[in-house]
Amino acid sequence: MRNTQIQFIVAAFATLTLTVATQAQQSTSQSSPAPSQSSVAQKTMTPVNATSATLTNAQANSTTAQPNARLAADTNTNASANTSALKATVVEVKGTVETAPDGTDPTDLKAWKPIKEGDELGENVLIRTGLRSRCVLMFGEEPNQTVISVRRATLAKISEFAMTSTEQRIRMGLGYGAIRGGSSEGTLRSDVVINSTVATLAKRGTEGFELEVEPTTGRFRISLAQSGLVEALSRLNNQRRSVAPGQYATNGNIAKMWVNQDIFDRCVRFYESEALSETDLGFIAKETTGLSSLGPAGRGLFGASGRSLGGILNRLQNNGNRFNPNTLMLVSDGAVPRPEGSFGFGQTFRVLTPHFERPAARNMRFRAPRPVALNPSRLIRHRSGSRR
Amino acid sequence: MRTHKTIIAITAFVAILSSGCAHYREFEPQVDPETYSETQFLHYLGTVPTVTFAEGCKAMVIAADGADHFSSHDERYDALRTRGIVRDSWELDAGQSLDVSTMAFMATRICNLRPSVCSTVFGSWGLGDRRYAQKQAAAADLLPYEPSYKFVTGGELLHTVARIDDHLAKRDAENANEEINAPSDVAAP
Repeated sequence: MRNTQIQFIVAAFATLTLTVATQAQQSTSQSSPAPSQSSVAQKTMTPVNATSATLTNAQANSTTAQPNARLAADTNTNASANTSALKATVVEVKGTVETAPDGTDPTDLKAWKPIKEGDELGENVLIRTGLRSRCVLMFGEEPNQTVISVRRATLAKISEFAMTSTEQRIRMGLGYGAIRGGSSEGTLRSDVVINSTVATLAKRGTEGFELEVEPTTGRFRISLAQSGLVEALSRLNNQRRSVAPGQYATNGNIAKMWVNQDIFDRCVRFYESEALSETDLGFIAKETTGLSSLGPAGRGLFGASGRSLGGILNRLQNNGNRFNPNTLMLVSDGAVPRPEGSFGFGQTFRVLTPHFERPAARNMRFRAPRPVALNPSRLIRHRSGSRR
Repeated sequence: MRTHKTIIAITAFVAILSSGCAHYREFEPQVDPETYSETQFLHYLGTVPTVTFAEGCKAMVIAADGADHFSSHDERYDALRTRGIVRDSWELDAGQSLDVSTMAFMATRICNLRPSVCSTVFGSWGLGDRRYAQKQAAAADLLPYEPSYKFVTGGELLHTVARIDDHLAKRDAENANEEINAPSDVAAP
């Protein structure tokens, strides 16, 4: 009897699981497939189809009008009726550089033909390079020239090269490897976009941009060396960033670029100790965050929010923390409550309290800190060699 | 009796560990990679999910010399071993999967990166030589820092080979600049 019940329960559970799985499969097949991480990984596994898959995704995104896919959609949707297809000229070849029609397998033994200087390449042409190899392509003529350099171990594609009365449109596909370039804008607006399966680079009047893509892993790097501005779009997470000269964006830092690069924006003070009073020297020795300033005539410290620290300390005192107003000594355990949010025990307060009172000594009488630790002139002399 | 069981369990655990480290690739390419030229082989790497030690050796030979003049894995292995790029103590077979640290060791040796003190002292014994090399390679931007036991994909190997090529090109450019700025060249009419 018990076995029969167990068999019935198992059979019912199996039927329920099968029904749910069938419904899920039907709903997945009915809805439009989203570009998931695994599907992108599969695309990157097949680099030749990857470039065409990029264009397919671009067309799909343009129809759904997703804002994050606007750069990719620009590839095919803005084609003007007055465009004329042109050819790029190969101006430099080094090492092994070969070309083949679009759709050719990169490991094909016969379809790839070597290219030489002076050759002209039209649209929908694949380019592959070996190690210690590169080729330089020239798009357009003076004064509207764009130079694209296909670097080592790269599979690239010329997707579009067209010119209208107002602009010069260049679309390159990058399966993997690296592409560098630069353009000079003369009478026409230069519109250059380099697409890959994981990232898109859009030029905004630049010189010295580069897009590097690692095959099968989704890692990329978009950098700008000299001048102008580059827009980087990560197609995996739809993050978008502007890359200025000297910056780069990768799949790792594109979402938090400012956080990674703000280390160069630290406050560095230059001062002459002879021109400063003891109060100034003490302030400089203690305040290393750049988030507070000294009031006129050395009266009062002000935080980054412009409020007097004395007022904050008084408020803390009213909240039950022990505070000695004569020495600006704050004695507190835990985070400081602030109206804009509790961000922990800030460094500005920490430097005001060189000696924290231990919990066991809370009820003891306040004892002034040792003069050596609080003597700012010694600290200054130690740091800068000689003060006078 | 209990001691015997403990010994048997430890032996079985070590055997499982060692067999787990010796991973062989299950993927079989449609065309034998030995038939590819250098450029074809590089672009073949961009399509495979994992690479073998033999393919790693061939890629490193191409990265070091720019061309592959050998016809078999044994010849490449001997050439790399004589130059200190691979070591016999690793006991790697041709069909075993290539891991990150092994690839990093070969990359650092080809680029002739100056080893750290710990790498010189302990790595010369073979103790952590590949792990130290991986740190060096990551610091030199030859590859991202990842677990040392991870098997590399073909794309990662291709990217590292490209980075090696960049590194060597930069070094050659710097050496050429030194020659131009040498006093004898400047003083020459």
